[in-house]
Order: sequence, then C-alpha cells, then structure tokens
Amino acid sequence: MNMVAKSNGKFILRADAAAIARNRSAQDRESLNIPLKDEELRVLLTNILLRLEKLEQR
Amino acid sequence: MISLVRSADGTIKTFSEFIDPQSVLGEGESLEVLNTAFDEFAKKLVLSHAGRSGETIVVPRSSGDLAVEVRCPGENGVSLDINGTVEMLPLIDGQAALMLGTEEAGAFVIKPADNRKYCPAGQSLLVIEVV
Repeated sequence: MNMVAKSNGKFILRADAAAIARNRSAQDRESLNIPLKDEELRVLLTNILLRLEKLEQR
Repeated sequence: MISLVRSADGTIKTFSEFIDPQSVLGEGESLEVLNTAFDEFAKKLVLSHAGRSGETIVVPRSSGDLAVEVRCPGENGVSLDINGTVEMLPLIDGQAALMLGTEEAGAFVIKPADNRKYCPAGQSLLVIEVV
C-alpha cells in the first residue's frame, strides 16, 4: 500500500518504491531484446549489481 | 435491533440484524446487542466520492483533485485512517470533505481510525484507485 503525504491541505500518494523497482527491472529485461551500446550495457550491469547488493544486505 | 461481533481486541468485526452466535463467533470474539436500526448503524460514518460509496472507485492519474465527502451525523469530529496515516477531521453539521491528489498512481484506502466505534466496512470504507 502506498504511503501518503499531506501537502497544501490535500493527501497525495507517495510513489511505491517496490513498484518503481519492478518497472525498472522490467525495462532492463526489455532492453536485453535489442542491441546495446557499451554505455547502456554498463547501466544495465550496474543495476544488476545494485540489486544483488540489496539482496545481500537482507 | 442489531448485533455487533467484536474481535478479542474490542474492534468491530461485523454487524448484522440476525446473527447466530453459535456459528459466527470465533475464539475471543464477543457479541453485543444494540437497540439501533441496521441502516442507522451502517450510516454512522459514510465516506463517498461523487455520491458513490462502499465500492472501489477508479480514477485516471493527473485527473485533478478529488473530494471525499465525510458524513458522521451527530459528531463534531472523526479520525480517519488514510493509508495508515491518521487524520482528525473537524465536522460541521456532521460533515467534512477530504481532498486527495491524483498526481501519483496507487490506491487510497480510507477507513475509520477508531474501529471500536465504527466498523471499517461497507460505506465506512472507501478505496480510490489512481491508475
């Protein structure tokens, strides 16, 4: 469930961190279907390493 | 006349005009009989948007601010739980409005904070999904 914040008298939803992570992961998967430049590959590998790091911290 | 089923912690689990205590009470639960009409109790707290309540309302993202109407007859204030955040709303003639933004996608789950007084179901529970 999203957290909420109150701003200027109204409640707004905070972006769901898990949903953002899932979207980013899906985008990374999609990118594997197309030829990647070195820089794009570096970003993809960095994302994977970051996820592994987070898993190791659990 | 209605019957309330209370959980072991005193919160209202459900209510009904006809309850068979043998079949509905779980461990630690208790039955309380109130001399109140079903409709009156069900409308102790009504949360609605554009006249709709007791259902999931779906609205598009970035469709502007939404007003949730809060009706709580005979009360000066009511505490609501909005996705786990408790907000005390002062009421005028038993009514108030709660403003919600639609900038971000997700779901607002609005229910009474005091579940010993109000049953968090039916018209006292409003889910607004922003898609």
